[in-house]
Amino acid sequence: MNLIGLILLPGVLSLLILPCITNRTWAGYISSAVCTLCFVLSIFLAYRVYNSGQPIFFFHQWFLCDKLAVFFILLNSFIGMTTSFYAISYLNNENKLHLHPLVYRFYHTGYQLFLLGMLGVLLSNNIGMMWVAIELATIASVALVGLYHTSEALEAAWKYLILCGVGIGLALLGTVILYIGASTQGLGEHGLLWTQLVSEAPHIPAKLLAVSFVFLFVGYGTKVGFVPLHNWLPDAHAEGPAPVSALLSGLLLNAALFAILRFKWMLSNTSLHTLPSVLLLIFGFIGVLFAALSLFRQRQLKRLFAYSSIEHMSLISIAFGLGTPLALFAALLHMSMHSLSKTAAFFSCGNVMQRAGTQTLSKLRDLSGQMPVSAALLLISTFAILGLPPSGLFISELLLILAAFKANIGLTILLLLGLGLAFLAILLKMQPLFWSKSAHVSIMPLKNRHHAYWPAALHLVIVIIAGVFVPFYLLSPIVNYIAGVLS
Amino acid sequence: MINDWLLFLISIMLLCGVLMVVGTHITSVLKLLVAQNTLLAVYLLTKAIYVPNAALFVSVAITVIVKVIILPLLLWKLARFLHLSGRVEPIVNKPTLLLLTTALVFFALILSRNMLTFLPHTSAAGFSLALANAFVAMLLVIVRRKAVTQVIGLLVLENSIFILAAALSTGFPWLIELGMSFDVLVGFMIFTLFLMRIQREYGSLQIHNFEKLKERV
Amino acid sequence: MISDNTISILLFVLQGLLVIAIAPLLSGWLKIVTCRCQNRSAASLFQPYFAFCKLLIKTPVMAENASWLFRFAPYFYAACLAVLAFVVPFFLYYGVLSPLFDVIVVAGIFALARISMALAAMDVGTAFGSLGARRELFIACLVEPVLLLVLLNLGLITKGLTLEHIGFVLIHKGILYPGLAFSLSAFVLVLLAENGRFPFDNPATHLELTMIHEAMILEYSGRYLALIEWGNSLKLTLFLLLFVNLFFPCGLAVQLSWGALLTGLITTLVKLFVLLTLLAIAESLQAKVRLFRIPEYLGLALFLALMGILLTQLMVTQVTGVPI
Repeated sequence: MNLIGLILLPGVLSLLILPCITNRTWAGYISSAVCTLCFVLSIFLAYRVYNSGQPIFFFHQWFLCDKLAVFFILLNSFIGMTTSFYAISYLNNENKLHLHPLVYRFYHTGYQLFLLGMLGVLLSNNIGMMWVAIELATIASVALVGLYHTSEALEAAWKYLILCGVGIGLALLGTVILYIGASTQGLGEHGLLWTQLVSEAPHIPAKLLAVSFVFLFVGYGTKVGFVPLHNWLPDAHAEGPAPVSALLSGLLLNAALFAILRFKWMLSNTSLHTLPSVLLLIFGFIGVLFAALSLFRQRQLKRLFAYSSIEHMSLISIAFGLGTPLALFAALLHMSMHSLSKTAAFFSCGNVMQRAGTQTLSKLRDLSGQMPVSAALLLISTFAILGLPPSGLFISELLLILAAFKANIGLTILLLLGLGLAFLAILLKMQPLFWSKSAHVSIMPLKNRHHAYWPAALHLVIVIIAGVFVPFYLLSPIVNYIAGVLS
Repeated sequence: MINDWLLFLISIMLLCGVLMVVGTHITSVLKLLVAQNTLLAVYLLTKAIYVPNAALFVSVAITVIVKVIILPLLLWKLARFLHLSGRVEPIVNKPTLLLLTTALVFFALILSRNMLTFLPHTSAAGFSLALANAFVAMLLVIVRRKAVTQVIGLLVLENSIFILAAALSTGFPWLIELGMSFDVLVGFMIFTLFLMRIQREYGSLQIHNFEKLKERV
Repeated sequence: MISDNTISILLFVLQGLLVIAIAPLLSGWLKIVTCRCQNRSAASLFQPYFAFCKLLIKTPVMAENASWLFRFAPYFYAACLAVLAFVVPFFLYYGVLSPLFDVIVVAGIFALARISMALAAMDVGTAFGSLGARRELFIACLVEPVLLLVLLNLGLITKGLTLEHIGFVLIHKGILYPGLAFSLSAFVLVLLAENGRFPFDNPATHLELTMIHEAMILEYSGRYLALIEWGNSLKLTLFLLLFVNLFFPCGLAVQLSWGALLTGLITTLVKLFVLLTLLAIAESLQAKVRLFRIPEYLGLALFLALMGILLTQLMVTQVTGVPI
């Protein structure tokens, strides 16, 4: 059977099974088992796609898996697997009265729906289906953000819903305009297929392509967290539970940027090939500077990491905007390393918050003394996010600075400024947590520690290994593939 | 003649959209939304009669049921349930709002005029009006404080996307399905609004809070 | 173009006289429907004619310091509106003076009529007279641009400014232009504002502080008042005729056969009565708004008219086939 169909199958089956299971422990284990199965299948898929030169298709060419997509699928399924294990112990440690009963009942269903949506975005060749997949993922993650039973959580979920709903509406407008452009070339039914659009793009009228790309950029860019449209991000991350914040930061932002990349790729052979790069660069730089400056004002742990997510996504979009092979390599490395280390950071934040009962930075003190393992994980993941060696983010930021230097010295200065400010802010905010005197906050022990520590530790080990032995064999084929297709 | 009539329908839909931007009462905004959806259904009906096509009839039926009946009913119930005072004032004053609307319509018309030199003129005209409607919908979402009108703005955006695709002579293969899935999103939003209100009123979703009026045996 | 022999000229003059004669009938019908909506019993259809006769018999009483302007103004007002009665289409698609007076002149004559009333109101020097005059001119300066924009939009679509040309093109090439929906809404607001209907003014009010039009004519009595009342109903008739015969010109006679003329007459009368019924229902459902909220409505009207022109100019239409 086609591997793409096989990899979608566990998700679809679990959507049928999970709503019927009432026992939360069973549901958690089934969800984790499904995610593990997906991960194993994605390894097979990656092996197949890397070895053959051609992408795999499925179902009338609606699904496509080329090297770029399979890399993201590998990353996605891995992070999905570890997050589902972490969620088992996290939910077990939570006081059930604080959780919204409806959302808690369908937590794992929503989780699988979200993962299926992400997989759909990464695998889709049909731009309409890509849109539907992102919408499904949005709905699922909105439900999950509202897990806690406070009114702030509900408000954060509503803000997320309305802002991303508007973004999705604009993305639909862009999709329809793009289809109109394709239908002028007589494509008809196949006008929605991305592969056909790539080959027909030079013939479609340029203004139509430009307008549709701008709408798609703004629409999907709302989900990436580009700066004027980022308002939902800090609230959703701060009010949602830790595994959901990890999902949003690690997976959703990547998938939305992937969607934008597909359209950028589509425009690369036309007369408009500079438009996406310019847009990505502008929004990237605005995002880096804005996020770096905002980091100084944060007082809560998860909001700090949320703004750090915005900053990193802006860095990645700068890298994609630069467009040279070195920058592409840096971008892909940065995306993967950021996902892994940010999810590890959110896992450790979740542990710290569950034990200390608060998120406020001023109240968290002397973590190394009171909860050594969680504090160690938090410290290492903070260092990883800051970009200190031997973290993989150090390598990717170095490569990004090199690529920017080759392009334009002014950009490099701005980039260094943003990176420096963000480094300073996060370090300033996080440093007092670990070794200062205790702030008289009562520390609860964790009930369920089976899966609380190893996901974060695994992510950090991978990040450090990747920082020391950079995975060229994984990333160079992708860069060559993109460059080869474009030339 | 038919094309003129279709274009006229789209322009009345744009008129409804513009009047929604300056409407002050939620009931008037809802009525204009129902009017716009009815016009959309009439548009599809005219096209279905003119170019007989079974799929189009089905889509007319679905559109009428979902957009003209179900969604406004949900919104109406929501507006009543939320005990809104009825007034949904925009955040800027009306002349500024009207100026913004005119500027946006102007921008949309100029943009589409530059884009569409290759389409037949009625399709191009329908495209420009639908694009103007989309911009007006964005304005509708931005200038209000109340959440219900923001949801209404998204519905108008969906209407304009629908008309944009339907104004093409070749048609859009999966348009109905895309529109329905967007309606799913909007339905989810309305559900969340209900939840938010329940949360605020009763503090929790416990069912025993809803049983205050039961008689004790 | 209808042939220019004596019979046709006579028919045109007859059309104008018919418009003048029918005006109070329409006011009566409006009153009947309003009363029925409010569950009251109404006076007869011809009551305005009886009122006119009653006022003619009475001796007019004037203030001591009333000048010639005060005596002259009602005649001037009625004369302006009577001239316009020969311009608007009634059962034929244009009036006898249409080729002479284009839409800008029509708007100008309406303004002339209004100015004469305002000046006469201020002539006697009472407080309510100048109050009414000021308010009337305040509304006028907001309404006139809208009226002009609406009529000019029609002119732009049909490439000509006389009512005859506009009527001819609209009848032969169809009325479904995108900009016209907007101009129509704007014209409805203009109609309500110019004639002192809800929500701008309550035509039946007796509270002087809320009056706009009535305050201007408080001092008049006898035959002057009779002329002014006839002029008011004629103004309403003229606006209604412009509305139905410019925006919905189906059934108007384009040639001089008895069948066409009869069809034109009947369809126009039916359209007028339907429109008056709708107007009466709308009036019964609304309330008068406060004076400072009138600019909101008229601003809306202005922008709707403006958008009508935008749509006409920036979009390709069936008639011309090329962008304008």
